[in-house]
Amino acid sequence: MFLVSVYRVIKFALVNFWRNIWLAIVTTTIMSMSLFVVMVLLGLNLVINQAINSLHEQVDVSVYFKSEITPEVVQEFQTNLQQIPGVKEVVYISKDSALDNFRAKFADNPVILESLDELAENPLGDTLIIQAQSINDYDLVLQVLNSEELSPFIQEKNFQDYNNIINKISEISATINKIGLFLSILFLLIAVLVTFNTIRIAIYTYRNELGIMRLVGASKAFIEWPFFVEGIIYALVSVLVTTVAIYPIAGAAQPFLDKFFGSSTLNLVNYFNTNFFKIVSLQLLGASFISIFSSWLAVRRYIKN
Amino acid sequence: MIEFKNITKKYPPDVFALRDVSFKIAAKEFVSIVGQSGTGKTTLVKLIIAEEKPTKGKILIGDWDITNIKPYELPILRRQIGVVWQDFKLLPKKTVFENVSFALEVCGETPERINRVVPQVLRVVGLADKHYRFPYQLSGGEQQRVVIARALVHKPKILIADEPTGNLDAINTQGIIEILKKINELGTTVILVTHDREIVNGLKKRVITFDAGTVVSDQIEGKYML
Ligand SMILES: Nc1ncnc2c1ncn2[C@@H]1O[C@H](COP(=O)(O)OP(=O)(O)O)[C@@H](O)[C@H]1O
Ligand SMILES: [Mg+2]
Repeated sequence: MFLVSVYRVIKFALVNFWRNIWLAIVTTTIMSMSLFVVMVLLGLNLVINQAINSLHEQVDVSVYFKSEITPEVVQEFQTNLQQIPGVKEVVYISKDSALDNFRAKFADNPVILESLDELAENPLGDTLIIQAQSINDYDLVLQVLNSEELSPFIQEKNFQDYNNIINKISEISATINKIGLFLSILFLLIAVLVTFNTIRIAIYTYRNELGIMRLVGASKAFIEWPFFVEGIIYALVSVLVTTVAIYPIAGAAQPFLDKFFGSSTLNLVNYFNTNFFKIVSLQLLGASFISIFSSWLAVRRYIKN
Repeated sequence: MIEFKNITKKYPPDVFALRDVSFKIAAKEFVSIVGQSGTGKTTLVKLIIAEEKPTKGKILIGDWDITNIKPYELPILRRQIGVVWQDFKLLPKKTVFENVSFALEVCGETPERINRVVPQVLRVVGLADKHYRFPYQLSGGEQQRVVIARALVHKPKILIADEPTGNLDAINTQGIIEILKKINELGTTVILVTHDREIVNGLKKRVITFDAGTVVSDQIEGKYML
């Protein structure tokens, strides 16, 4: 008996959907667009966060020791520097491999190579490359490196600071988030209004049926649920549309993102593929919530007991 | 079966549709409610099916006090009371059979029960041979009989007809009255709201007469008086 009712409620809702098919199309379009805007916002956030993270990873401090300092001393520094809180790792590069790197770097510059060959001794010193856990931890590292006791050993230090780029990207990200949030809220509001209106019209279209249902003693649930189910149908269809639309669009956007954020940029299509069920169920949850909420508003307002 | 105790119904802002009305209707009775237009007859019907709530007084159906009925109890009440209105509320795109079965479907009845009950009630109202007609293919009297059939699907203890013949000619009117009498003979309490003098006088049953929202007479074998 319960299943019969469930079946009838769903049938009733599907008939509703067909009866006002143009409204249904408008409603699902708007809802899909809202989902889409939210998805774009989330996608951009993913890409930007990934870009910022990879920049953070590239930040380091290179310490070039004077060439007369022995490897033993440098390695002792390495051990000591490793003790500074917040330091992730300290890499030791010997003067020989530094020279090899140098040669490799200027392989197509004979002038530099020749003048190197003329020197009897390796002019370079050992190098330590220090990476901290996070960007803020470099303050302490630099403070240590700048101290009086260390300066006699150090030829030069180079703090590869990506702070400017990171700040710029963060700024862009904040702006995108602000605009995106505004658009999302706008679209969600429109979606609620449109769905509310569609259900209102469905209720109006069904006013005779509803009157009869009340008169012959149909339960409140049977009277109201078709409209909630209709809302759920809108949610299902819009999630389907959004999911189908997002692949070609993400694919088309990828080259531009790569160009802007560099080649290590998150691949959106791959990301969607690996997180498919999570993304689709979140969309379903969100869309159902919006549509059921709107239907509930309409039912509460336009169906009397 | 039905008891009104000092019922007053005021519509906002200050229309008194009923004033201090009291009466009792016994089970299996056939009662006509008469009175001029605007004297509160339809309001009385709405109070019985709890579509409106009384401003003052108490309403009992059986020994159930429905004065402050809860919304979730409404379906239980309404499945025990069949109602027929003056304007036939049929669904134009459904056949006779579907119009009647709709009432059972929306109450969660099984297809088996629907297929058993619908032909039964259509036979009671004399439409056994018109299951697949659409409303526009029926006369006004036939349409009203479909509405009566629909009101009977839950085998209600009470059938209320509010001016069921208001839009019908004399012959169709007589047909409807015969059906109501038959339903009453089968054991259902029938309340007929009308202002048709001939019907009332021909019935020779109890008549309650309303005027300006009050009962002005209540006779066991009444005549139309006003
Ligand atoms: N929903 C309503 N709101 C305000 N006044 C109403 C409403 N329904 C009926 N009335 C008034 O109550 C009085 C009784 O109406 P009604 O019960 O329909 O009488 P009848 O059925 O005898 O013609 C009339 O004056 C009518 O205008
Ligand atoms: Mg009336």
